[in-house]
Amino acid sequence: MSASTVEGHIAKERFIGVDLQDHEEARGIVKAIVRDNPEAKVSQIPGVIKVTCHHQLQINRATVEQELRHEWDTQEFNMSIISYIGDIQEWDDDHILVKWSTD
Amino acid sequence: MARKLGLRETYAAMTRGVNWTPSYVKEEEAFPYHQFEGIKIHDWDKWEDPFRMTVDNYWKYQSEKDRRLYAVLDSFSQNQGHLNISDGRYLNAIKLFLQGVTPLEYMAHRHFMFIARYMPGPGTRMAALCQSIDELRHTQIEIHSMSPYNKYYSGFHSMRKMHDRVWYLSVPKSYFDDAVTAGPFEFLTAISFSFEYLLTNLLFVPFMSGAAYNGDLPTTTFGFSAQSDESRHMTLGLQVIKFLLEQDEANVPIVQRWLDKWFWRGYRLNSLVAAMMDYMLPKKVMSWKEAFELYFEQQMLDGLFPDLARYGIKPPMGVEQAIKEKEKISHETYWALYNFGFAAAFNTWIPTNSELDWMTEKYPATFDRYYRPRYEKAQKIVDENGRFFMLGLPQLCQVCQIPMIFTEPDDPGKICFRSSTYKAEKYHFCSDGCKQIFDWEPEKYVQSWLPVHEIYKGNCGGPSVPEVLDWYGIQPGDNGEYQGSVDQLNWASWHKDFAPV
Amino acid sequence: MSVVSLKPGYEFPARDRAELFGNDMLVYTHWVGNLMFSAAAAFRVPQGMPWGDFKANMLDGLFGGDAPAYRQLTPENTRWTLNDQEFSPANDRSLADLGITHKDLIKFEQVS
Repeated sequence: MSASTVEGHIAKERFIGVDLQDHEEARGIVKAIVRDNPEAKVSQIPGVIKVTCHHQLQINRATVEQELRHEWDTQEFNMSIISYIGDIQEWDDDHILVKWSTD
Repeated sequence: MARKLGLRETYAAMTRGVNWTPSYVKEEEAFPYHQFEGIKIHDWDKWEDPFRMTVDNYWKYQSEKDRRLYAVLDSFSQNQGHLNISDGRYLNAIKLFLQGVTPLEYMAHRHFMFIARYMPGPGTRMAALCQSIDELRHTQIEIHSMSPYNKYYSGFHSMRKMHDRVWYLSVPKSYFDDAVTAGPFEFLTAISFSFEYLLTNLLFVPFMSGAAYNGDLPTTTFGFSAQSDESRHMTLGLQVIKFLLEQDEANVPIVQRWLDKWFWRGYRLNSLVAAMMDYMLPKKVMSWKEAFELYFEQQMLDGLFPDLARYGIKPPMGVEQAIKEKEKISHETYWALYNFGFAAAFNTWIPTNSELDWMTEKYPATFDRYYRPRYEKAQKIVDENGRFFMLGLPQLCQVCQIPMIFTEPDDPGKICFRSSTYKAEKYHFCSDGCKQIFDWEPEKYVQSWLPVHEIYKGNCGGPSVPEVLDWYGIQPGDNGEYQGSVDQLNWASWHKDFAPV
Repeated sequence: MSVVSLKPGYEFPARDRAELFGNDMLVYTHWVGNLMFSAAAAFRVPQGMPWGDFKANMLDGLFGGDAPAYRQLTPENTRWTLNDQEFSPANDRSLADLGITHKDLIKFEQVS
């Protein structure tokens, strides 16, 4: 049985993404994500910004710093993230990469 | 000057770099608990923590999170913020959270400290140590965030006592007790993976977004503050599973069995969340069904499980039934809370007409046919100055401890009864899933502390309802109907000078 | 292979075993087809209690909460089962005589 053959379940598009607090710094991060991941889709429920992509989502420190106009440590992402979907495959000084292991 | 270490190197230096091999005691004396479950680990160094959280960064960011939160709480209290929530009814969701979830945070704190001490891998221990401190922080910030409401509203005063005693709170309590009495790897599969990764979004994201939408500043703020830690916990959960599956093929059937058990246990626990989402939020963010489709079906079944399939892991037992039940469980659960509301530490009510219409819209296949007629009948009784309660005690499921309220997967009109006999005693279950979990480990579940049976054995303060409520710590006004309650009358008087909305 | 790992000798007496209730027992009763009552009700009852007393003192009080529907039930139009087997209660016989034991499930429904 694969996931797509679970009875009663209608498989939809597979995506990965991050859920962020709706606050000033996160809005800058979202702008950076959209710049670096042109297929990124942004949606919202109260208090939460959801950014999703089909294959991978990369956050680059340099782009975030341009958007925020100050230095930004990738660990500061901890102050904005609420949840995520996918597997965090890389998190170093310059970027954060979310994707599934199989694609 | 020496080059500053990068994130990756700092993490390696501050976790593995400070590890040592014991020399005064044998390895198995220092770490006696990680082998009896049959899990085989060959190389603890293969453990990855993508968050690469180190102690210095941990203190830095956690203290910043707390500073932000407490500034909001002060401001909320100074500005009489409680008057700005959507409606007095809303706070009943928060009472349920404080009574049911906050004590679990404390249990998680205790058990992650155990994991942090007893796992042989330093990466695992560091992640568990951070999580343990996080969970203690969550307990504290939840209590601090909700305490401003305790001055003005009923039901917020005795959560610790209630958690150990009240019938519906035995559902979350027994769930967590089941996990902490398992071995360390089963605990991590249960809590870190099945709860924190697979199901947590169903609890926290709609709950916190619901709080944001209903003007509940403290809950929104602690919720998002806690959720930022939860992302790290999700990562721990996914790491545990991948690590176990990659270390040895013999681990696969063990993990599959735990997944089968703990998906179903966690999913049943979430029925309380479903009732909260659909019925207790005056301004609704999304229905339970929509949340289940997004956060479980799309994100987990379509997203995660193809990744796990390469190890031979299948979607867990009961998934098909959970999909069928998305049309039903919020309604069946809230109706039970309405039925037995005289013994709950929060208020219940009949949804307003526009709320009933919202449910019709969200649940076209079931609501008007099966559930709306009950509210119409209950409303008729209210119109005649009554209130419908089920004035007795319900039969409970031996495993999930929820009253036996769930219907057959294909028939919302018929209660699902399952049973097993073990050593000449009969046991009753709400579902095939709960029966299967019992049949796998009857030795464990014959010990269930079932609140209804405990009342009948004379262990809960006395035989009458007032005696039991007193033993529960429920004070007059905490329980029963919302309309005409202390909270509703206060709310009306505090808002009588407000412009009508 | 085994995927359950219990320590040998992990064994505890059932927490709600029949002997703890002495001459009493637990019995569950469910009204099939009336989900105004969200679950079966649980009762603690003496094994020697006559059925008529059980019905009058326990069932009538609880299920009479839905008075209009409960009034429609008569001995003729009500079907009873005990653990899903056909069952004919008689008012003067005790619960034990009728074969009801600890943690049994009684169901009733209106059939016409």
